[in-house]
Amino acid sequence: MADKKKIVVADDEPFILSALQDTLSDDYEVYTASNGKEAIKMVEKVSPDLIILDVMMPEMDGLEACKQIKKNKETAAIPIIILTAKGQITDIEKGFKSGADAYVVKPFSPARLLEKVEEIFEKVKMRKKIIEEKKNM
Amino acid sequence: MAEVKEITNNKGIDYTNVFNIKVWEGVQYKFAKVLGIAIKVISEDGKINTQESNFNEFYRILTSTEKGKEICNPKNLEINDETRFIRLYGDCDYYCAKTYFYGRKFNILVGIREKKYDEKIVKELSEKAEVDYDKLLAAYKTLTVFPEEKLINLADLIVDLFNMVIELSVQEYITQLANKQKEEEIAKMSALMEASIVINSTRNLKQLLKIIMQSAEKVMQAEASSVFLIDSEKNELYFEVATGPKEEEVKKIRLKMGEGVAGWVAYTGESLLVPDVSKDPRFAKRVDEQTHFITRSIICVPLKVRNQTIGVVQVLNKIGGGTFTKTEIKFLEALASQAAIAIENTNLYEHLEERAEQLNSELKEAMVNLSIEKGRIESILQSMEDAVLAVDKEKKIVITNRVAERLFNVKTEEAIGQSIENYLKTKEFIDNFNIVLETKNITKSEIKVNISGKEHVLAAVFAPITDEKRQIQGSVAVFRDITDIKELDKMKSEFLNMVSHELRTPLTPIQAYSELMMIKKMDEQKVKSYAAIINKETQRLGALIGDLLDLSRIESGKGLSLSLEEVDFGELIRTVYETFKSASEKHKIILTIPEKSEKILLDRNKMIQVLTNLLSNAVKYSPDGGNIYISMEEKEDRIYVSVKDEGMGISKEDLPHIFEKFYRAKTEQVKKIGGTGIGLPIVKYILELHNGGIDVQSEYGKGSTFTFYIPKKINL
Repeated sequence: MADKKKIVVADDEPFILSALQDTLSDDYEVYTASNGKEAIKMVEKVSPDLIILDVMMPEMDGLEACKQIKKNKETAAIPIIILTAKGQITDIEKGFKSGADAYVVKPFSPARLLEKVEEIFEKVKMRKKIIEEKKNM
Repeated sequence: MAEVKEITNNKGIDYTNVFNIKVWEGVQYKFAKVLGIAIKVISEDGKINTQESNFNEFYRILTSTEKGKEICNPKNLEINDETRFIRLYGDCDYYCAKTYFYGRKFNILVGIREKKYDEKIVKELSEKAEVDYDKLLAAYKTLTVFPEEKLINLADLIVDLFNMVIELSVQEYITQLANKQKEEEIAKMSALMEASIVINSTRNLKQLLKIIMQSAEKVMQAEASSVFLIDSEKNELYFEVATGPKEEEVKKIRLKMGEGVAGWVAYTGESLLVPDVSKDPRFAKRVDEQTHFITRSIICVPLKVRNQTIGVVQVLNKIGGGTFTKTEIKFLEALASQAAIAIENTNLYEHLEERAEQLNSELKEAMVNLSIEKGRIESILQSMEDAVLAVDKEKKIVITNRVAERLFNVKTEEAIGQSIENYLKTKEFIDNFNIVLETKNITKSEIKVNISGKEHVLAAVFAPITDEKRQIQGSVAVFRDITDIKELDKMKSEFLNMVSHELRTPLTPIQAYSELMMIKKMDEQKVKSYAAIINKETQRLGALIGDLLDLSRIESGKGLSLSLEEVDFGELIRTVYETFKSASEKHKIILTIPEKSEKILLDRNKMIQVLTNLLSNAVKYSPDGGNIYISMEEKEDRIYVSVKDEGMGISKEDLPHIFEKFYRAKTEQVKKIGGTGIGLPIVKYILELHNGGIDVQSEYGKGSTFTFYIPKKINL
């Protein structure tokens, strides 16, 4: 079996964080953070394949962390899922403006989250494939 | 006006000789000079037409040419009974007062310029009179402007003056006559003069007629005299005034039209002299029989007003048995014409008075109604909670009220008549007024304004004011300050956002773990740990829903009820501590409580709610961790508990508000943490129910200490 893909998850609510961890840990290597700043540090440290960020967090919120990660050339390519409790259109808009790739509304279904994660990895794979094909041409 | 036959032809007396025109012109001159007005007297027959007296520069320039003189002294003025105002030249209105002498009407013209100057008229006048326009205009501008009512007063004064001069003239004439003519002649002149004066001074008709008749009796040396008036409805004559020995009896009698000498004269409108009644079949004996008076001779003449016979005047029995002469008919006719004028005047005055009274009472009523209406509107305006501003077509303020004064910093007395643009600087106000004035449509808008340094939101309605012809006359605007409502709206929606967030936060792990338990294979230990999380988060959800229910109970006024039991407060704190101690790895909770404490009466669950709330806040608002100190001490009859954290603290701006419902800290850092803003208000409420209280001390960035107390003995 190939190396597990790495995912960084950030949420200030311990039980939500653990729920995310328990949902993903069977298939992925999960790293946790409890606010935006920690999340950025963790991302720089482990270079994950995916990041899941809660919106409302102390210190630095998920949208700000998302922006910074996307600004950084080394981490810009990492897909980000925004986790929002509000599910409001404004939040979703702000999420995409910050460069998020997808969003999941809380409360989430672990199965749906897993599907979403896999879907994103599929997309990334497809993209890579296309880019390589282009190179070869 | 009855046509008065020339006395002069018969008597050789010309009233134009009697009236000393030179004396009058002298008086007129002086008055015109002193008062700065113009005076002119014209008799109805045009025989007397005084030189206009006018001493202003304007008149002097105007009459400096022949043409100007012509303009200022018109020969044939058309003046009739109804004429009250007449224009002689330019735009000077002459008030036309009337007086009577010798049965002649005199029109006394008193002129004052009572309008503001009109250059166009002066231009025309200067061309007609062939005088210099600029000079005339300059003089014209210096003319005094009098209001109409003053003019009439002035005219009355001139009329009095004129009468005085006439009186003097007549007396002078009498003196002249006394030297050459018979006494009889003098008496007649005096009687006429007297009648003339009485007519112009008395408004009581009966008294007036009586005076006239008495002087007739005296002059003609008659035993009795009477005035009959025609009752046109019954076609009868009745005694209006009677003099002589049988005065009272005579008054009860009515004559048929055509009955007796009086009836005949009334019917034919011709004067009649009956030297011996016993020989004249027209004489009605009935009257004599009823009054026990013996009539021998009669002179009877008609009383005519505007050529219509309204009654008769008769004189009976020459004293000493002589007979009346034909010249005495003329004298009586002259007297009758004076009497007719008196009657006409009286009727006119009565009519005018009646009309004036009616108008006056109507006006009074209208004024009262108007002032009631005005008062009503005024009190509505002033007691309104909304600001009202009304403007006219030119956007000048016409109405403001108390609230508007406060809201726009306007003083009504100063603002009325001022342009609205001087007071409302925000463009939207003016735009809205413009739209309404142009389109006549009602507009509504929310306007943000800066009022004494603070932004306010005003809900505004602008409506057109139109007259009965639907023409726009202005616009009225009503403003309501909805700043607080807006703020409340904002707080409400923020609260709903927070509540939905707060509800979803525990719901997320509940849904996630329950689903994980369904889809994953796991050992019993894992199942138990998942179930424990679900349980904990369910409790959290329950507590939150409990808070919301508490809040709605407090909000609806139902309040919360306490179920009291004896509780060891130290024990209670320990219980809550147990549930918290392992909740966070970053925080260390340090207890300082006495080993033993008295049991006190309180609501156990609600007090747990208080402690839980304060502790979870301490954890929540110190995200970087730190110590949390819980201490309890008994002081006198109270128990004091404090919860201290080393977290972010509370800013000075937020500190006074944290116990207010829905209040959420304004600092960005706190906003990110979330919360409903109802925890602390409920804590405060519960403590107050226990006769206790809560206070907070905090330094931003260093942490907060919440200290509450409850009495050991609760008084409910």
